[in-house]
Amino acid sequence: MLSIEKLNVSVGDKKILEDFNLKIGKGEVHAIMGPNGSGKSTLSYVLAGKDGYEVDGKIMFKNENIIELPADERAQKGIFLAFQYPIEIPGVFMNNFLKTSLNAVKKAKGQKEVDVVEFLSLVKQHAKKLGIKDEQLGRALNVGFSGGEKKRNEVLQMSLLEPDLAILDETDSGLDIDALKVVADGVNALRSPNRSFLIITHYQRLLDYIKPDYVHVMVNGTIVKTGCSKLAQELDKIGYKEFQKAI
Amino acid sequence: MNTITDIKEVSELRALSLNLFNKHGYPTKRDEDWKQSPLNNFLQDNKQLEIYKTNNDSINEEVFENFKHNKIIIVNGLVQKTDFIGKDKDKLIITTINEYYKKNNKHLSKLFSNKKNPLVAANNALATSGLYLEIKDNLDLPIIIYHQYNSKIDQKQLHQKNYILINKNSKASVFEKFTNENKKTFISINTNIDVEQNSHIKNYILNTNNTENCIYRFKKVNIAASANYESFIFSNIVKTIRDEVEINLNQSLAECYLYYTQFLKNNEDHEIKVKINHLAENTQSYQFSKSIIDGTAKGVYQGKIFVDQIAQKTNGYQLIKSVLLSDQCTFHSKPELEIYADDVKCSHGSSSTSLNKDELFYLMARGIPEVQAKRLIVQGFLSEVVEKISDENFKNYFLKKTEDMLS
Repeated sequence: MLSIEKLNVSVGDKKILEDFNLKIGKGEVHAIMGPNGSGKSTLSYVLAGKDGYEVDGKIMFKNENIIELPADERAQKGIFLAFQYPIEIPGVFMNNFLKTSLNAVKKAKGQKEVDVVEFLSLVKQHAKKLGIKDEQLGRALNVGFSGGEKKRNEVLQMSLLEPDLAILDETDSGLDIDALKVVADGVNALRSPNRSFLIITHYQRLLDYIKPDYVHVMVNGTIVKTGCSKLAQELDKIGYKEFQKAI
Repeated sequence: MNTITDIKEVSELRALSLNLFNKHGYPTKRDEDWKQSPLNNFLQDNKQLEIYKTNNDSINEEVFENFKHNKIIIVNGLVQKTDFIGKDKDKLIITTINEYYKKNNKHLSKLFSNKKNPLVAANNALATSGLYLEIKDNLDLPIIIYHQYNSKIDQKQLHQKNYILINKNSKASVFEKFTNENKKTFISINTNIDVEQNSHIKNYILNTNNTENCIYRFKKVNIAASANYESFIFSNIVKTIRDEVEINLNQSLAECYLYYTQFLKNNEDHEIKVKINHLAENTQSYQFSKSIIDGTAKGVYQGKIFVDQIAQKTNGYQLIKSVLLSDQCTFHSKPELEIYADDVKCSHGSSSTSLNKDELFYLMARGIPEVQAKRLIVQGFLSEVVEKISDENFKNYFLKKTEDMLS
């Protein structure tokens, strides 16, 4: 599904990712854990196609190097980034945004676009599963949403767009236990043999709900250890200091 | 038939205005109030334009809106036709401004004020056409004033003077739609609006598709106790236009709400000037303007809130935002507060930024192509102002206009 080879990312003189390598197979769930400033969020932005970075290397997605592609084309090909801090956009209403997004992706895939009636029925169905009220769908995008509402909204978008690779950037931050469970249930419902996940987090608690196949420890822009889900539990006890020292 | 020159008071006021104009001449960049005005160059280069003598010119019915409304059609400054529907017929008085002068030939000086403003002085001196509109009760339907200008006034100057009076306890929505098929004309429209006690007027303006003329619209609005005035001006594809309003909140609980959106590109320009005078206790004013500027276009917003020393408990708010889409476009914002009372709440904010890259990335990361994503952001940015319009039908009308403008 995804193969990152010798990815180097910098901003000005500052190197953020250095010779970064990662392979994610079809249907696999990978978690990346690491201390603040280790480059986790940058990795998610670079995978999603954000401008402003000097990028070198290969990002092979479904056997195509997407490193030069803009963000919209990557999303249309099936990459979804659930933002750590979803952006508030005043005046852009949820329903309009979701319909535009869904139809842009469908159009790129050569599928039939949905009309208003089909869309409303679909979005309400998905929203209900995530405990999102209809009223929220009539509001401006993320404006005035609580932390929990924003994260649920990210999962709603993910469930509508049905990506092949979902990157969750600290989706657990700012969530209380109940909201965390709702979000995790939403993600688990999307797990399938054809969909891969990359979960970026500081803490093990999200991984109690979404069981990863692999856990990677990332320090100073590179992966320093890979293990199974038990590694997350270990990290919770010993922290990242040991890995930072090693570097 | 009497002409306005037969009315002694009007003749005297016009002569006085002409002297004032002659003394000052056309405004220039040296005048602080006109420093950034897009009108200056046109006026300096076209000082000798012939004055258009109003005539019975033909109506363009193609621009009529297809929803139910009361119509007033003004062609080249002269009221040509009215069409009022149902009970609204009995709630409206309309005549030409000249007829109004004849019937009220004393105490007209308030319609000839603002003597310090050279273009208002010119209008006072030269205007021979315009309308008098009196709203006597709550209207069932909105009024649309179609201001139509055609090629008969090419390379001429036209001065139009209107007076709109809203009687006590009345409500009305007045939509002014401007259509210009003329060229190189200087059009000056001076409108006095009196909003009497406990009345509410919503005044919406469609300012589009005019890049060939120089237009100065000046409004003076007097608002009485517990009355309010709401205005919205939608500007797009316009050049060499200044929209100016001076509002007097004369009595307690008088309120005004001024909303503006403008989308300027290429070499377009538009200037907005607002002065709000809080002259009594417990008055409130609200200004909210958003502009999108692209190409080499230039936007200007001058907004002043004046609070008299007796105007305690004033609430004045002003927020001016612009997004600059190119490196060559400019937006000049000049927010001013002049406060002489000590128990007031006034705020002003102004920001000019480029398009928010994080917003753009967020939308693109959802598969929305860049052009479409930018359009969504711009539409959302402007719609925030449009959403403030309290008349639901016109809110939807202008939301649709905003969407159409960008598509």
